[in-house]
Amino acid sequence: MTAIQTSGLGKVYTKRLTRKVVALKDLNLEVERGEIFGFLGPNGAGKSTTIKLLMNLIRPTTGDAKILGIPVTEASSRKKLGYLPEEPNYYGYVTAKELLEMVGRIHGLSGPEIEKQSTEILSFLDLPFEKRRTIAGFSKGMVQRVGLAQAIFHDPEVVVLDEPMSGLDPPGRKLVADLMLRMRDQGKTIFFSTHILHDVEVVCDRIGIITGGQLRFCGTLAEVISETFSSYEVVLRKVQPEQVRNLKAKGFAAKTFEDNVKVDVSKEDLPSFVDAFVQHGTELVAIEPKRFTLEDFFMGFIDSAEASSRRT
Amino acid sequence: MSEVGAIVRVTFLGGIRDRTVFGIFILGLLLMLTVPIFSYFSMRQTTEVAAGYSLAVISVIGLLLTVFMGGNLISRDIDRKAIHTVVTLPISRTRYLLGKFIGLALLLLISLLILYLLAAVAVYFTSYQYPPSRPLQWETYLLVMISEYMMLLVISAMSVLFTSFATSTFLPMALTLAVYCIGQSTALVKDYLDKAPEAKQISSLVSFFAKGSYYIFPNLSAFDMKNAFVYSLPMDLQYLLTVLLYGLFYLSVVIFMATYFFSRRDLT
Repeated sequence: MTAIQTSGLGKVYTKRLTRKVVALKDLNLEVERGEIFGFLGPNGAGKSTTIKLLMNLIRPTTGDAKILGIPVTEASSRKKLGYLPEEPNYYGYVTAKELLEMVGRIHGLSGPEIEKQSTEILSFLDLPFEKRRTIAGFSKGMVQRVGLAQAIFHDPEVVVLDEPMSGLDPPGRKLVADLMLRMRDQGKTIFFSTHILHDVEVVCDRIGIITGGQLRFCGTLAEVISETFSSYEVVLRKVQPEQVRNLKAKGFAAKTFEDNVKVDVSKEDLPSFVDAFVQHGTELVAIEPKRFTLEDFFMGFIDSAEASSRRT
Repeated sequence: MSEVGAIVRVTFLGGIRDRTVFGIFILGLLLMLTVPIFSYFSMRQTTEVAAGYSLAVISVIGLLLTVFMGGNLISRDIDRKAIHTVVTLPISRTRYLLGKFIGLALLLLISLLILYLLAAVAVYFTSYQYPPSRPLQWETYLLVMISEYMMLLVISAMSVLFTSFATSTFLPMALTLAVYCIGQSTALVKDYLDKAPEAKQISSLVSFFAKGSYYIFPNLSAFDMKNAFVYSLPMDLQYLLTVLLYGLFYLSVVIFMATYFFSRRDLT
């Protein structure tokens, strides 16, 4: 059974009675159990709309979504689900413990279970126990940690996190990343949205890239980072100036750096290129594959989405 | 139903920790302290004035609490997006709304009990000093409290209905106040249209809308039984029971409508 499944999911907002805005179009997605799935996209791409649809905060215009096989329109679909909203906001007049008590009661936990669990989680996330300190007096980072506490309070099987690292300082970001990896090791599924690419590289097993309300890519990080390179950077020494001119004349991008020359060579041209230079007494210093970083990959989708939107 | 209980508790905590609600309640207590002073201004019927004044204070404070808390009940959760962390728990929106309404009802009940208790003390001591022409009927006092509470529940239900679809905090409050004003006068207007000879000159369209309002809006004047206690009039229990059933039926329909709208609402 998949942890999260959407089929043909779409959302069209109506603004000012007549204007239609397509926020999400025909999203078909399957997130398997036990994986960390990063949902990437620029601002306004449809990440939050997808998450709001998964959490039944908004109703889909087309399609449907299921969590652990249960339609998201049923409250029971959220029994084994934890959710951290983007910029979480809680009842400012309650203490962290009172909030967790409400969450525990709604999840059907008993009084002693709530007591034990809240003590553990509050100390793990370094949150205050004081009876008089309400959430209204918490810093942004503390509120984010309260959000994490309530999301994992009932030991959920699936956790949906909307921009979980935003507003956190470096130790806070590390705490969240470690927590995600720990939950994955326990067999939990994590679906999280972000536009911070470093977070994705650190924790994700698979990613989905969404732009303009459409899913453009869905695959593993290895597919993105390791296999998507098309050229090599060849570093040569003792290259004659005439040879450099020849290279440039043939269309190679060659840069002189101290007494080295760096040349971009395509996969296909590499064997003949190396042979030709070595035979002429040039010293070969290094051959490095030019890998696409996740950033290059991501920006490529954004650029193509922008280009297609300009065309239409 | 433990999930409804959790929402009731949080709503109740929100009410007692809200400075505005606390302020309104304190205003009520202060006004209650003025009961002996104002009633002494009256040259005669001092106890009746004390009773009328204290019950009027409770009505005003009850209305203020209902309008303020009812208007904010869900709108504030939506405005501040606190609702995103509650309705995404395994609780249906219907149960969330019911929890909110019951929490408000509980808060109103406790506020009214305290205010009615204080009013009873004030009226009792006034009657001790200035005995009324007819002895006070304390059982009637209890029935007045019950009918007043039911009226506030009906108004609360209306405010919950408005917050179920309104996009601002101000709108539900304004609409609730409007319903209160209309609800207090529709019976009077209908009575005038039915009986007064001058009413025949009023256009049929105006008459139609005025009578329509009587059937659509809650008839809040029916819940006003203050005079029965103030003047120690006999209480018609059958009438009280009818009014309570009417209130219960009306608020059930309104809450049902509110859950219908709220369940279909996008919480962006």
